Amino acid sequence: MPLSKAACLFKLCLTLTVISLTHLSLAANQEPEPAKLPDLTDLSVEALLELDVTSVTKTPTGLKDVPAAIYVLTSDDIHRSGATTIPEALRVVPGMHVARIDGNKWAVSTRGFNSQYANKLLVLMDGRILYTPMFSGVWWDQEDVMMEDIERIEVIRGPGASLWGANAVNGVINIITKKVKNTQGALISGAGGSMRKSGGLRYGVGLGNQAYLKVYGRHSEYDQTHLPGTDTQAGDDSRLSKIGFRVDKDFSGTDKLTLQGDAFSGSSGGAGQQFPTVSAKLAPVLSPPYSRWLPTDSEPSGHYLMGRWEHGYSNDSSTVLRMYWNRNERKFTAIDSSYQIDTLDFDFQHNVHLDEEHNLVWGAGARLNYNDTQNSLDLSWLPNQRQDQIYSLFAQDEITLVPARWKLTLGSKFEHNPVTQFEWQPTARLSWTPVKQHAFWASVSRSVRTPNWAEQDLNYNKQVIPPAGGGVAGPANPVTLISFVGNKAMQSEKMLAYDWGWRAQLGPRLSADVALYYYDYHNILSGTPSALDASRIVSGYLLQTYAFTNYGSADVYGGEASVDWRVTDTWKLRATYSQTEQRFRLSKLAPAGTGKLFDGGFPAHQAMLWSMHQLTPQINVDLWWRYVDGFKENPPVQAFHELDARLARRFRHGLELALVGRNLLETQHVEFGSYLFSIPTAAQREVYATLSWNF
Amino acid sequence: MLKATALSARFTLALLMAVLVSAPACAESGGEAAVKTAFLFNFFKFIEWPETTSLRTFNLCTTENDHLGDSLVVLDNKTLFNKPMVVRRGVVGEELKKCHMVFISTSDHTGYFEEIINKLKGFPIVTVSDQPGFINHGGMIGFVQDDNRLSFEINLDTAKANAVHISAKLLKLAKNVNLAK
Repeated sequence: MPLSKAACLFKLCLTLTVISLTHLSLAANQEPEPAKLPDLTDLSVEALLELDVTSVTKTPTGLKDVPAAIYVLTSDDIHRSGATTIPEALRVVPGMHVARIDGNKWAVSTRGFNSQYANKLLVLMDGRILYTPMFSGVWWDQEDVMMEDIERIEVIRGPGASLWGANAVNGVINIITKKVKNTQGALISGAGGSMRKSGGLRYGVGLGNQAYLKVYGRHSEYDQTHLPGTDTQAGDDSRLSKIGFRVDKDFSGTDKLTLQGDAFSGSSGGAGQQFPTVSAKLAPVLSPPYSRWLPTDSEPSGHYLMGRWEHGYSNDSSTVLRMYWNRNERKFTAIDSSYQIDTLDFDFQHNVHLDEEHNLVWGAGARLNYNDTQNSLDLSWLPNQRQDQIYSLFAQDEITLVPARWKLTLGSKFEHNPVTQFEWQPTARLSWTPVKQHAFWASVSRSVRTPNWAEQDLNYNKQVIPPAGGGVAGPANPVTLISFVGNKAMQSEKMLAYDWGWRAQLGPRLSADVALYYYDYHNILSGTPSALDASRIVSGYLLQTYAFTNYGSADVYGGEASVDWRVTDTWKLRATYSQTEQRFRLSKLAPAGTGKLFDGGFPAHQAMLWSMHQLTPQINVDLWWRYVDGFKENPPVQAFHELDARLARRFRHGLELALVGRNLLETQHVEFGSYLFSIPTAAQREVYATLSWNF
Repeated sequence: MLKATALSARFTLALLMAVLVSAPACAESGGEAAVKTAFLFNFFKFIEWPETTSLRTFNLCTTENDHLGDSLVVLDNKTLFNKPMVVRRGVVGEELKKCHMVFISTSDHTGYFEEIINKLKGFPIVTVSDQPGFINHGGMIGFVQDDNRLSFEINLDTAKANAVHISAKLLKLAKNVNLAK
């Protein structure tokens, strides 16, 4: 269970949960009430049915003692952020670094190691893993969902590997969509403005016998942005269409069945990039032009089907069985390369409350990843077909040492994968609640990130150095091709994590959350050049390959603090600050020329202030300021301040209109650097309107 | 590690400052009661009593130990269709018959709510309770909590038998509607 925000703070949220106000409700009762009980009578029955009571039942003293740096974005937070994409919504999470690389690419990570290919964050939607085994990261462009359909997003900073397994190294993002029962009726939502357009429709209906169905469809388009510092269009416009369904059925309270799925298709543009011209694999052409300028466009498509069966044996024991099939395709159109990945996943979990002291959860899982690629000379995978089977087993015991005071959680995940064989990822967490208003916790965990397919199988021509003078190449004046190649002997990246936290309810209107961490990484990704291959000098070219290796290590430490303050009944402030220090080193064993990879990408300081103001029961104003420190990238990213704003007005019959302004302080700024196949463009000032109509 | 300690000091300082600007305390009890109160208020909008047009007030009553705490205070001075809402708590005996809606809290004593229901049988009075299975024991509207949400179920037979008209809209929003006849 996520920790809930102080109940005293919730009135504001609740008022915002409102999808519709019946015309009978009393708008007269608007004088600012003294600080007392929340008056929810303005809410319609529909809105009351939607309300999460747990966020309500928790009295200010009922502080949750979750021994982890957990943060929960409620559907209201998401709604008020005006976000139309998940990364935009994640920007408000303390310690999370979200950078917009171009119109459709995002770098999202926490506690270091960010890039488009950020590989230490596990992202799940309703329990389905969103990261691709290709690079252990998420293609955020294809995770375009109706934001109104998200129930909440739980973000755990720090390792969650003992439960979730490999790749839950730096954090876990759990996106939970709404149950069908809570999304009955029709919802129309849309956004339109200077740089984005989107529209969606959702319809939920009861099928009788405790069965509910919802269907939805959505289309979104994002316009081109500018190349940094210019007015030149970058060619990074994108669009995506998605349709989906979900059925929930309740059998006499003890069994719950869910079947859900979606299908999508889209295209995501990218700015142009120099690609070396090659005549064969790892062989450059011998006469100009040695490279050509191609867009980094891609076309994602895919679908999934998931079933989930929950069975309750008693109040103290329940099981969940989940299985899904996920297919994901992506075509890199300009270079004629593509891949198709199928994932088949089975998961079983058993929660059992053994006695007063022990709360046990254990489970087992099997996953099959199947990959079929169409290789081109520019980008290929060897082998071009591959099948990985991953088996796992985990157990975790939550032990109450002293009731309501001390709690110890011990757990571990055991995983077997075909590359590095056995991996174990244990954790120990201790929480102490000396008084109800304060909770302290500490944990030690070990996590691994298993090698991804790109690291093992990739062939990607990075750069070409034309012969001197740029003319025809020959044995005396050769052309040099620089390529990245996979390494079959990749090892897992390993991390030992120490986490501390303090969560406090400092009075009924103020709550605070502080987390500190020290992470020690070994065997992290590096790039090692092989000896210059001069065997084809006679033909007129040299080949320099770089292989992915594991010679890096790092210490990353820092912390986050966030404060929620309800200044008045209608005005709430949320402030967060985070710091991250990254220290990268190379092993003494590293061959000469070895370089660090993905060793920047994260700002040392981030701060934000969010003001949520309810002017009248119908009108909300949100102002959101953020500061992101500059950081090392290619090219370096400059520090920036930005301000977003949202003005929303609710009308009768469930209609809400809002005006959102993004990046209001400057016409443009750059949020990230350049990596393989991703060219940064400017994050620009933007204004759009959103509509949400529930009936 | 040393740096991490320095960081920790910095955070503590920031938090101390936050404490200093802390606002005065507000009294707060469980919000579940506030949600139930809001539901009760809303129910009035969708229910017609035989003499609705001639009513001068809407009377909401609760029985002893209603667990709603101070949440009912928000209903003071509220009006519906230009008629004031009157809240009476801890009502017992014959006085219950002057109510339009009676909220009966969960009780360990199972016979407790059945006794009240029997007393009100045949009167146009809406009975509401969070007692599990309430509508199967002659109650009209029962609160149901599943997962993290509160919903309600309606026994339409009982409503009809007591000459209370519940609008189709409310029936549509109910989780279950019990209709045998």
